Amino acid sequence: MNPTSPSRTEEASQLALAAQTALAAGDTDRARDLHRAAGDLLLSGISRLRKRSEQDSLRFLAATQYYLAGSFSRAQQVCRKIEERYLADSDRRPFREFRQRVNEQATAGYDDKIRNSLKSLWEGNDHRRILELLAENPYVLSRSDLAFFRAICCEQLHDYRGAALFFADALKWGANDPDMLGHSVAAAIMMTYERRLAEAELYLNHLLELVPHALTFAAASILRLYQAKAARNDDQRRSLMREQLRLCESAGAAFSDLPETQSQSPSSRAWMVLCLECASFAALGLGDRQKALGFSDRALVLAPSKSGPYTSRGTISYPSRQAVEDFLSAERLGEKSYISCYYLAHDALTRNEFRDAEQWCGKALRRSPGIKIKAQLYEWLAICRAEAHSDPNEIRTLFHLAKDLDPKNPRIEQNYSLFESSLSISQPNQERPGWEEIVPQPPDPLQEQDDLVSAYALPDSKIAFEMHSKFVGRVTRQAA
Amino acid sequence: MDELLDVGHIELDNPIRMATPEDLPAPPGPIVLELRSLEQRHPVLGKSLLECFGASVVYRLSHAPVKLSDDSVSRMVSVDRRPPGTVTPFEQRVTIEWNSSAMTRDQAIRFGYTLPNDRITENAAIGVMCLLINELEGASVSKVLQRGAGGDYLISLPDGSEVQVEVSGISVDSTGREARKRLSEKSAQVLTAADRGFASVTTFSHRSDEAAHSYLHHVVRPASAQESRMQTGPNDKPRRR
Repeated sequence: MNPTSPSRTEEASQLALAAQTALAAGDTDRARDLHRAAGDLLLSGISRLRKRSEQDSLRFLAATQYYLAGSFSRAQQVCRKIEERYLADSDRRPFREFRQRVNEQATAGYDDKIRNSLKSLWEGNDHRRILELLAENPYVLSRSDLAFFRAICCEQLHDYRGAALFFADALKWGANDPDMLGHSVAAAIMMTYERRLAEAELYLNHLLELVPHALTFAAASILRLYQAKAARNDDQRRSLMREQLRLCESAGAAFSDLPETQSQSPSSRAWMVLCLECASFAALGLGDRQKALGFSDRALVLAPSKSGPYTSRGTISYPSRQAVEDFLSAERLGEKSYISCYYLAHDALTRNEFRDAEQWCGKALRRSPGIKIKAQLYEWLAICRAEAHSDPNEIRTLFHLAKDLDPKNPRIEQNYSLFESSLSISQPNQERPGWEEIVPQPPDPLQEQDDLVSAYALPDSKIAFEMHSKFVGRVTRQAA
Repeated sequence: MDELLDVGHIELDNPIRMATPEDLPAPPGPIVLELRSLEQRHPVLGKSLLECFGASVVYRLSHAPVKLSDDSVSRMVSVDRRPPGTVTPFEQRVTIEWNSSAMTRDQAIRFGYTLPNDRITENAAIGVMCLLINELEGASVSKVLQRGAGGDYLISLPDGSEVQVEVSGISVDSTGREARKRLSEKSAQVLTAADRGFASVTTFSHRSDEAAHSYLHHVVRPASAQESRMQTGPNDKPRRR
């Protein structure tokens, strides 16, 4: 029953228990080492045993430890030395089953088979089964990839505490992977973007507690802007925006402390830039234009070749020459939102450059603006066409489109009336109607916040899932 | 309490007078077992036992299969006991507490994903066994090593002797039949290697009331089989009848 000295089996028991504890904590590196050490310790006692039955019993124990360490070949070697007939009756059937399992898993290609299964299960959205398969085969991935895979599966299963716990593990063990920081907050940011604010807050609270890195603060800061927009009253709104700025400052401070590999990661920089852009809106909402410009400038330092920060700074400093330059820079850098075109159209209109204005309006309309912005753009187009003496029916149609989209806008109504009355005066060199402040006020970023902020967020709400799928692709390719 | 179990070929053929539950000293009050006390109860392996099995115990007693409220810190376990020297099993209730233990909810959540389901159940059953066998039988665990898929758990009794415990866990058993069957199997199994030992089967959702339930039975090979065993040696053909 007790084939080797008590101290040796006690020590092996200690090691095996510690290995199981490490495995349960997801620390497969430690679990592997401890199980191997337990196996080695047990085998080292064999020479002291005289009876073959005792030796083989001990080998069975040791082989089990190697198997639990994921050292299937080593377990197989030890099993080959065991003769079943020397084992106790009670051990013979378990040994046969064990040996068969060892032989299966020691086969070349076993790990690839598991990785392929993981990939298929991911593609089939069977996240629960992935977690089970990883629990059954914990050594098939590195411990940081294992933790990361578990985190994104928990995320998909809406277990946000579990997700945060595993992200914390993944970052602890895989701090050199620069993309992990960005991955860990992608889903929470997308929840914010999709207005699942309560869910995003729940998740981010777990992340803030367990993974308080620069991008967690950044994600929480972005969330506050959306919460402010949904606030019941002005006090609450302002309080949330102040909290947003505080979190943005924490994010900035933590970001500057990140190792260069992490701070240079594209996903990390993208989230940090988005955070700064959102903070500039909040500062503006709190009446601090200088601070707003400061956030935009910081975003530009982080992403000088990206269009977003130029658009953001232009929005805040408009109307100004610098703002127009910023919008033009944004366009040169491939801005995809309607915002820069919208402001450039406004600028052209105010300078009576109606052809330019018409072009910018057309571009902006093709970039899916929100309803009120769209109404304005149709109104401006109507004005441009009126100035170009286009077909009145065409102009009338554009005004009607604008009025239908924003029926309560008195300015559109007024401009339409001016247009209709101008038609009754039929003179060859008629003067322009006195358009009612065509674009009357520069667009208010707070009023247009939904549109503006959404335009800065990534356009594809499946981005988190796609980022995660890239990770799954990488880790399931490794051994192939 | 369960009806008397049919444990197949196992017979209690003890020459000494069989004690009855009434013979045993009555416990001073409700038995409360604090999970963290594992450390003190088992001088050799206590700390490791607590670290390795504690969170699984909390997980199975409070998270799944029966979910208690988040602030719950204890659960009653109905123990079907048959101590050495007794023939008739009897029921005893204990409460397992984890309020002052270091097993956090986070650890339990992690365990739910890092270990296969059956491993969590087995680990939790071992944890419960370690508490019960010390409290009720005065034994401490001296060896815990897996052999193949099964466990090899050796305990030291107060008289200094060492015996094996066969442990098994069941997550849900709505009729109680599976637990009885498992007890029978484990009782038989422990006697293939020795003349006596313990069988421990813990179910975390037992019968329709979803109670936590644990069998802790001392089993002894019939005297006739013991004689036969002495003649044939330990590694000869099966001794089962």
